[in-house]
Amino acid sequence: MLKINNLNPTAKLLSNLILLVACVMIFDPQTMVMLFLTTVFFGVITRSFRKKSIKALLPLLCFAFAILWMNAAFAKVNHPQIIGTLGPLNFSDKGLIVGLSLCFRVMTIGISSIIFTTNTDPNDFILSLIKQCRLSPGIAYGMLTAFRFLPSIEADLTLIIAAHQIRNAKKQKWYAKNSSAWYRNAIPLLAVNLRRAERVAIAMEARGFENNMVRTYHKTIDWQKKDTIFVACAALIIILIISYSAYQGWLVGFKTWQGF
Amino acid sequence: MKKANWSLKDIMVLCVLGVAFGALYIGGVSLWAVANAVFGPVGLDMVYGIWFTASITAAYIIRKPGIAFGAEMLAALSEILLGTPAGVSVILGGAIQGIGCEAIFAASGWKKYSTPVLILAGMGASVTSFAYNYIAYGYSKFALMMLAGMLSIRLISGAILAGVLGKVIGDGLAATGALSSFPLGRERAVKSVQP
Repeated sequence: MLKINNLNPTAKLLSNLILLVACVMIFDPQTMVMLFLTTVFFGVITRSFRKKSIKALLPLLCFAFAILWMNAAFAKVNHPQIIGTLGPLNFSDKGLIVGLSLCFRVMTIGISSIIFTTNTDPNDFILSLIKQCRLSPGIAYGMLTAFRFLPSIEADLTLIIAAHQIRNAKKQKWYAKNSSAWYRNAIPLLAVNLRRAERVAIAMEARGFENNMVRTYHKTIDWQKKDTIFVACAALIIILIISYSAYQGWLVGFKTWQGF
Repeated sequence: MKKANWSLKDIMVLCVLGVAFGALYIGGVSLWAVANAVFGPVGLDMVYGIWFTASITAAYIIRKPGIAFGAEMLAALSEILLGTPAGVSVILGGAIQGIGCEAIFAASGWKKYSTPVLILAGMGASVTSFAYNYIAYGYSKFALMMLAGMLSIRLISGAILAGVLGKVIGDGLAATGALSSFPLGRERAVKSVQP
């Protein structure tokens, strides 16, 4: 099994962006299926598919399927052959081909993202953004601090609900309760955390923290040779797939504006 | 061009809003999945406005150049950290949506934060995000009438779910007194003492 947890998060992000750009430029199903299968294979050998990540993919699969049938039914193609009907919808062969390439594009982007998030530690990602992407330490530490608030949100919510129950024992109809509950809970929850953020900002300033200061770090995420090799390999595999597709005559690249 | 002069307090509040809305955005994916299953990609346009709310709310509260763009980027970053299925593409999407919102506030010189401006900012993000989806999801294959319909739905969604909802959330927060040190809170305090 391949381990990519110890690679620089920026290297993984860069590889993801290269794949994203390649996917957006490709309009044929064969190349997209090859990229999709390669991404799935990479996900399998890095053990990236867990119950939680597969669950997170479900909405994206719905979107991919919707893209597929809508293109099969509505895509603007030359000389379409009707291959099936469902009520008022006529599905064409060429529309289905367009839909398939876009469907696999969405799934490839989704799966590559799952691989990234499963194999990346949030703290390392932020530290890597500071070092490699020149992210302001103020924003980076602000994000890390804001994430520290997340575990306390559940306790805050319980407190807010209890306070509402004490003040307003009158029972509401289910529809009134559901429609207004999010607002009644979300506003105090946000207000509590904004107050907390202000207090933390004052505490940070009191300890000499400035937004754009030059500072040292307890832990740094450096760019190593293995990161360069990883990004180069990812780019090379994508180029090889596209080249093979072009050699076979399958490749349909990014199409310029054709008019409606 | 005004210089983005953010204090540490602004940044901290922006980060909290970014994380909170990042979590909301991930929740929005489920809503999108339901709308998608019923209406296809048009369903995405119906709920798309949810993904611009962070920039509208943050800009309405803090009222400084770059806040709308920054809020959208931080919400995208927190989505990645929380594990979104849309993954790193949300950074690009967030930047494009943020630019759409920020452009409207920039056009007003970062001085007007009235309801029409907030609604326009939501619609601005609708336009830029639609252009991004047009390229990324191959919308060029759809007929003109269908594209016009999808864009119209997204504009309405941006106006209501981002513009109006962003203002409602900002006003709700101001009413709690938590924004007393921010421009929105100060504006409220001045209004409350005026006859």
